[in-house]
Amino acid sequence: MFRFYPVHPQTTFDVFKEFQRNFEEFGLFRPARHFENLDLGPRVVKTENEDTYRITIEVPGMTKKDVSITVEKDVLMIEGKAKQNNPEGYEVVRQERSLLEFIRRLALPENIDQSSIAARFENGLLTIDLPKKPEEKPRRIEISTVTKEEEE
Amino acid sequence: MTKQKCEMSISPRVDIFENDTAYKMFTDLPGVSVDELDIRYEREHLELKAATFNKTFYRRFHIPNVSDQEISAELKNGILEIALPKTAAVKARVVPVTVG
Repeated sequence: MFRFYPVHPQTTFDVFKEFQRNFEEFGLFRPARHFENLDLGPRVVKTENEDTYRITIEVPGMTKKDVSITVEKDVLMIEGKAKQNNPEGYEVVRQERSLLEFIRRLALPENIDQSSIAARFENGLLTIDLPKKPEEKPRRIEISTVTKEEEE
Repeated sequence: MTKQKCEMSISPRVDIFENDTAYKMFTDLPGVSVDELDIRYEREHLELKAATFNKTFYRRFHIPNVSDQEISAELKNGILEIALPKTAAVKARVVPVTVG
């Protein structure tokens, strides 16, 4: 029942493709649109407060020059590419880290001010702040004092 | 921003390399700064701990025959690099063979 593919030197990335192909072959799993990034992609955390949406992406080892952020219509695209940092003259004992390349597309909320999106790097964390439009911030509505008659 | 309280520790991903004289270890610790790190080498075990405001990282490895006085570590862009020189005893020796 199982179909085997010829074995040849592969990168980790190819192995995932192989899995995907196997899944598709059996019809067990309809791949999501960005399936390839599913296992390799960085962790993304979205938080929000009154003024801002914040996206935090874990990109250890990457710096400003490795990442590009673009906004097109209502989609925020974050791309990153880093170099393999295997030290020379050493043999691999264990290799778990895999983040070398990623693309993340995130739908932007409607109520943000796209012109003031700001991003920064700190200790391998990429933080993107998406300020909300002023009119979208919750307004406090004053409650007027009730008159005697209405109270009854 | 909302502070999240998370008691569960994360096991960070590592790469370990080795040659005749030393081990090199790279650990992903995104969001961790130097003062939040705690690295110990004790009884042949290397222990990594890091606690940020919302995350705790923990990992322990058995790495014997390390010259513990010479261990050095550097944190750069969310990656912790640790160099662990081996003790003289485990450094591979090339044995010359003479033709008799």
